[in-house]
Amino acid sequence: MKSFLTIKELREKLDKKELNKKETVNFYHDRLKKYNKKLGVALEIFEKESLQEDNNQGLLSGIPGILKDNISQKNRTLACGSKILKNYVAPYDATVTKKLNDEGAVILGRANMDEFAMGSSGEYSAYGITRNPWDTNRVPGGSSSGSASAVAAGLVPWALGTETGGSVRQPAAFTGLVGLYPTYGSNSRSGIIAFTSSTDQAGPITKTVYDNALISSILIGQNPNDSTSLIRPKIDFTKNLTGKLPKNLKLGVIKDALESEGVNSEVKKSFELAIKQLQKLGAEIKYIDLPDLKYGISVYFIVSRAEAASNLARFDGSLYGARSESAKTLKEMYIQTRHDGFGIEVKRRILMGNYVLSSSHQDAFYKKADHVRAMMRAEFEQAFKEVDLLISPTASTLPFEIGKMCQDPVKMYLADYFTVPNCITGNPALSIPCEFSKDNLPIGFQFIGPRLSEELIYQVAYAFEQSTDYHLKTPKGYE
Amino acid sequence: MVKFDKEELIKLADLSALKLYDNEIDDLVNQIQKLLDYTDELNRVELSTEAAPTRNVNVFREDVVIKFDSSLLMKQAPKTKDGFFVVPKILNK
Repeated sequence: MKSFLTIKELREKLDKKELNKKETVNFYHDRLKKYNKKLGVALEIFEKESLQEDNNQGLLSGIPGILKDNISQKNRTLACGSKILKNYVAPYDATVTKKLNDEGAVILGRANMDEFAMGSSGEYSAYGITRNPWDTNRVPGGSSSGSASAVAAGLVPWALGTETGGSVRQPAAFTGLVGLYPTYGSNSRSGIIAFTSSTDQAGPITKTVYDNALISSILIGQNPNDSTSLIRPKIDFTKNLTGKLPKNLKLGVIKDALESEGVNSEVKKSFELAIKQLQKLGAEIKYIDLPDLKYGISVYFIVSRAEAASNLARFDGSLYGARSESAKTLKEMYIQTRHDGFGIEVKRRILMGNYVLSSSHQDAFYKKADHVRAMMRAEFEQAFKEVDLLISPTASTLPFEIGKMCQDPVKMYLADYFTVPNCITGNPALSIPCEFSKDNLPIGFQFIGPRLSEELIYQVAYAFEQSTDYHLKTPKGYE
Repeated sequence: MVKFDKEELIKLADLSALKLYDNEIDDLVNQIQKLLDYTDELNRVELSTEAAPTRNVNVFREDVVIKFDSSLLMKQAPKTKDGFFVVPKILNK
């Protein structure tokens, strides 16, 4: 069997009986096992005997994938990359898991991630780092590190990640893949461990735009158990992938992307190339100034940490998860359990979150951030009166070397400069590959759209992808 | 600009039910101070009166009992007795 097949190719081969489901599943299961030691992508690879039966005729029947370790899979461990949940077994399926299973997906395991999805590099998992298959001395990005690295190395054709401020798109960009942050509320958060409830969304990571559109079509839909999920009609995003841009398409280049000194020169160069390519395809390019965009990181620092501190208060050893047995009093039990269970990045965020929420500082920080968040939302809305979609690099840097950014967390947080704003405002965005650096490292750029504009985003991204060959490249050593 | 110090950190750690190693304290104070300094730019933003923070709205649904095997949940608990969660004693005689 050939490595690096897409979902689309696998579906065709399975339907034509050129492949059978069992050999397909075995093939990927073996690959995942073989390369997991090298890359650290999976925290658990399920036993073959325990995988979903293959009599389903759904869109993903017989097609293997992997889910980030913060997405519940019934009767499977769900550790969220943390020691505090090392023994936790999910008592039910997340809504997104159920939807994938209903379409026959064969989920092979749990993907490694930064603990509680807090990190941009895959270095903050309590169970070891994940490596980038394009250069194993470099990070694959995070926090959906295992999901991205597994797809990039062809160990699974698709994966599900979750994103709060860039955790799907940034690793997708770092590993040469396609990753979506959908309009906030498009898919249900039910059964996904909460980090920043007001921005958390699951998103697919795939090799191609078509595959991504297919998975998104499966995931989207309202769930009455999740009051933040949107009522959206069922839609097949693959239907509109014509390979052509819509007529009179106007794309807005975020000015900051080209002017900011923080953007790596190779990233900037490849983004400029992408702009030219889009012009060649017929898009009209406008340069848009979004002055409030630069506050994204500050707003995110405050909002995400405040919500994280509140969401993570529930992990105290009383109802589930690990419990420190040495404690004699209830408070000691809370403290010791959390001490033993949380890593330093998680502690850092809880502390900052409780600081900005404390009564003496709430007005200065949280309330102000909430107001600026509304201004950013208005600014995006204004921009989308002038252009159909906005474009910018996904990450401002190339995939960095392992260990290099850990010493300076603030610098690492700034790597989310371009992915954070639309998460704060709830706007959808898709990252796709646009070039490789001179050292053969992947670079991505992104389309940001008005709320509910995924169909247009996929159409435009597909036309770009089909006019380039970046999506056909694969890292060496995983043949 | 806000000044974040060691004393504040220790108080916060207690409120957050976190214990810190001595050798973590200086780094944490510096890092949190750096983050707070960064967010100081928000104090210079002229808040627009047009874009007000959105209000959350209630989303209601019928309160229907869904059958669920609670033993699955109880099995997750570190310690139980007769269908109750057991934690260290909080009241003394």
